[in-house]
Amino acid sequence: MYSGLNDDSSQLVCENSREVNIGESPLPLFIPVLEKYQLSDLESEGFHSKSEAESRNSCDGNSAADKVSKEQTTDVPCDSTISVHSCLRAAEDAGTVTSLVHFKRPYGDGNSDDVVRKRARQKDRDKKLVSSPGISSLIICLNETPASEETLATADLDDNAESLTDNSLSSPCLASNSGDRHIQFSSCHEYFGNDDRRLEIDPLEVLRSPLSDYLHCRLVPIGPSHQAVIPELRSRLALKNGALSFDLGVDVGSNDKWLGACAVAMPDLSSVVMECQNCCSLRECDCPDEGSMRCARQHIMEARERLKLRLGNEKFFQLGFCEMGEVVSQKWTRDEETLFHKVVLLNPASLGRNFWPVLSRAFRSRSCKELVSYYFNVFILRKRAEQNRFDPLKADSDNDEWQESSYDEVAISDEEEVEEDQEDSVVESPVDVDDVGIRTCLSEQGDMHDDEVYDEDYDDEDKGFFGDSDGFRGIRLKAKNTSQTIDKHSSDVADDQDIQDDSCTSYEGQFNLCDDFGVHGKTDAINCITDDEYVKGCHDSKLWEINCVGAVEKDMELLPTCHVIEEVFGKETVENDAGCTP
Amino acid sequence: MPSKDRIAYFYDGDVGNVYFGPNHPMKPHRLCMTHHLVLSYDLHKKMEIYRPHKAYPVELAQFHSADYIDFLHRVTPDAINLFELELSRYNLGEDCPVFDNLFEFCQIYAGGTLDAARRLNNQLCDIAINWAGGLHHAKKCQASGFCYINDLVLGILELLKYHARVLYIDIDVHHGDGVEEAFYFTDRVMTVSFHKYGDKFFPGTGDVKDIGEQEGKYYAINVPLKDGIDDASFTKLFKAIIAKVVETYLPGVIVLQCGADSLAGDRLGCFNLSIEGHAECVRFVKSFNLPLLVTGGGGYTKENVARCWTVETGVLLDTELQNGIPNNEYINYFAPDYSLKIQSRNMENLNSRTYLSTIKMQVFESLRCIQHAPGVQMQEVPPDFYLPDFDEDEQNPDERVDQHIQDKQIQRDDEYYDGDNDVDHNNEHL
Repeated sequence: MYSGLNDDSSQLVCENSREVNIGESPLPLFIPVLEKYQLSDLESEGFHSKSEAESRNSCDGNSAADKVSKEQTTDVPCDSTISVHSCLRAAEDAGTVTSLVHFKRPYGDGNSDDVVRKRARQKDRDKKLVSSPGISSLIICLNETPASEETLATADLDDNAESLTDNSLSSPCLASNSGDRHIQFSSCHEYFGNDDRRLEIDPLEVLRSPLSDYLHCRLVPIGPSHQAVIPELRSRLALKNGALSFDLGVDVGSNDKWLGACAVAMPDLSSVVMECQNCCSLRECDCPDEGSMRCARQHIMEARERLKLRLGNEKFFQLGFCEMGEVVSQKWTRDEETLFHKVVLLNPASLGRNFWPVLSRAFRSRSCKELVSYYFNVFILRKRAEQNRFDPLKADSDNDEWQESSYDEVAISDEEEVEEDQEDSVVESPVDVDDVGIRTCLSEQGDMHDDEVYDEDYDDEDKGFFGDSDGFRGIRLKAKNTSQTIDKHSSDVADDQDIQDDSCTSYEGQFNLCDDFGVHGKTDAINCITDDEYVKGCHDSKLWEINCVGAVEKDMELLPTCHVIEEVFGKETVENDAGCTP
Repeated sequence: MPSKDRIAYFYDGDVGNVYFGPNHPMKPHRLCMTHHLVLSYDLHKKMEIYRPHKAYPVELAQFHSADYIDFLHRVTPDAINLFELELSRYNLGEDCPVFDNLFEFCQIYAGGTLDAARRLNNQLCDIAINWAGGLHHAKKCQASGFCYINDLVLGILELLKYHARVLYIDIDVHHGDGVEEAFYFTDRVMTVSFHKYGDKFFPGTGDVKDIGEQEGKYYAINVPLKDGIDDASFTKLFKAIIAKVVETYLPGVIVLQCGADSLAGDRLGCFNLSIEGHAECVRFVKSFNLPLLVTGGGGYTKENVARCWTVETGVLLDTELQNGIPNNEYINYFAPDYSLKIQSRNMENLNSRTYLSTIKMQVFESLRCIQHAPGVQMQEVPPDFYLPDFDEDEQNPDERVDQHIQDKQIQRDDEYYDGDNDVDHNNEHL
């Protein structure tokens, strides 16, 4: 592999690259000492060094050498494509080489496990190290760090530079001897410093080296696990049905279906006149209740009808308009909508819960797509509409826990704090679930006082989850808040203030409601609107069942599931509303 | 004046009905909002709209490893406890969660880009748009940065069958590392990425000095930027660099990833671009009158994503849209101003003129090293070390390589299932 790097073509490239280095001639043979790189950038890459050790210990071939190092690189004033092997030799011979290689923070450093994540608020220290299977080889490209206005700290050279182990030339990780790595130096650019120390690089050692903020290295994975296989160029005569079949190795039939199914054909551009779009916005109407929810709905419906007229029913359907907007709720019953709202409210992400599996259990007859569609087209959309009217400047359509009622309860804390919590519940990491779980456990033992349970960090409506020795108390509080909330969302749901007296009925109602939607069995019924994943392993199930189930409005149509009630509460519990069918 | 370009627009309603999970910033529902807004502006009257086919696993395996595809196909949220090792291996879980209909989601967005590329190849359109695509972080054997299948690489591979040189431009705030890595060693694809770099910003790659290697040296361009870059700075730099790139490289087709997280106010981004500035880049690329494949990408403030890509659809159609958003199903998302414009933030532009000038200079230096066509080689057979587990005797330069690779990939990936370490195989070719 490395022979190719020393052939003529490579040399030519080297020459070219040398020419790129404007202003330098000739280049001294030492590795530049660059400014101290921002440690923070590299701390996050600490997995590299740790994974190095792990990869040597593991037998499955996963190796950190496969990973892409995200460090910056620095230049070595050698020909760009010759191997480090020859470069090091030359450097050694010259005796004027300094090696200062900055890799990730050393193994064992507490920060070294952090990995750059796309989600900024992720601070997962347990991340599993990942590497591509089947490492082939690496090219470490030492390039210059990007030009920056920061001054280059030469003064640190002596303090921080350490000689590295003298394994570079025979290191199994280097150059042509290495089955794992090939270090290649790219064209150099800036450099300074002059040190007699030999250039000795053992990448593995360096990776664990405590030093150095100076040289940065980018590891570029190479091999069949990383690069695409470039297809050969064909003439346009190959554009026939057979071409794609050959590519894929299967008979793909007609070429047409691989070009997309036409939903709207190409219009005749010569005849298209750009119509004046619907200029009406929600701000411009003659409605006496302009800006209200009713007004908005009316205008949206009008716009929808106009669009349908313009497109025609068939295209309107083909383009997916039937699945957009609040109209999706027309395929849902009111009971279903209420249950949906409840499940989401009772399993807030801010408390580390996930309502999605609960939704799946509660709506077994609904596909996941339908649930997602309802969530975005109705649930979140309505919430945003309310936000627009309540506090348009702070509207956040990603906040599915936003509650208008939470703004009413100023007694808990001042308004700013509540709003921060609202934002935090969305933006920040979820509350430490362990804490919540522990509280629940303690509450089972009656150690928690009511006041301690109601931590002001949590949204007020969620306080009902933290039960005490009297398992029903939490339910009462929760029910009160929930029913208030439900009012905001659905005018058809009556406010239920008597829930505490109807706890048995509530449970029955709850179970019945779940049963109505296909939830069977005691476990399902109890868990049907709560995220039991969250509570596993940290609670007494019976107490939790009592604590976590939310309230149900009295006036909902209930189907009896007496056997479930009897199982939980014994035969004394009798349903009031409807006849019990054993 | 209406555009004379034929525009093909790809959309499938199912792509928006997936949910990454609580508090996950990626919300494919933004695609529904975009689509709806595009149609609310009557833009369907100026372009063809297609529903893409769902990419088959064998198509996805044109780039990705077969075992990775297979796992993506099989894994479900209910069963993730059984696949801890694989989840780790394929980097699934946190940034890239396993959710219901994950694979179908991938098939749709990848199918869109593939169909778009094929329509361009067949010269059935001049510009093809797939806002659902642009997931540029996905690697050959693993997911990354909310991306599972790299539709851009797949689309580019498709284009490479009939175009000698493909130019890839990425204006997502994150570095287009997946695409760059896939083509890092070839000169048939020039990747140009403008992105935030430094401060632990994902993915951490994209240094200006990463310019490609081997045959691909100088065919990767990275423009690392700092927080707060504004329209004026960005568009000036963009135009200068892209003009030079096109003039030097002479691509036959351009792929443009329009990640909207480079907009001001994005939930994950840190730039200060307005929609006008962002769209100006699209307009500029279109002005070269080359076949153009446009995709989406990042974008985590969904109403701004919808605004941005709607405006840019208009740009591609040479249609200026009225600022007031017409009534539509999602009008509430656009409150309080119901306008296509977004507010720039009051944030400092940390990119000084000196800094930007230096970056541009370094990019130009790299470009000087490139000889454009006909000097650009077209690889008939990939070099050995790209495919270390290929037996040289089996390789027949006269045969199309793809079928071979297809078979080999499947074979190789079975080995991975057994946990073989392929280092031994690779060593033979070193």
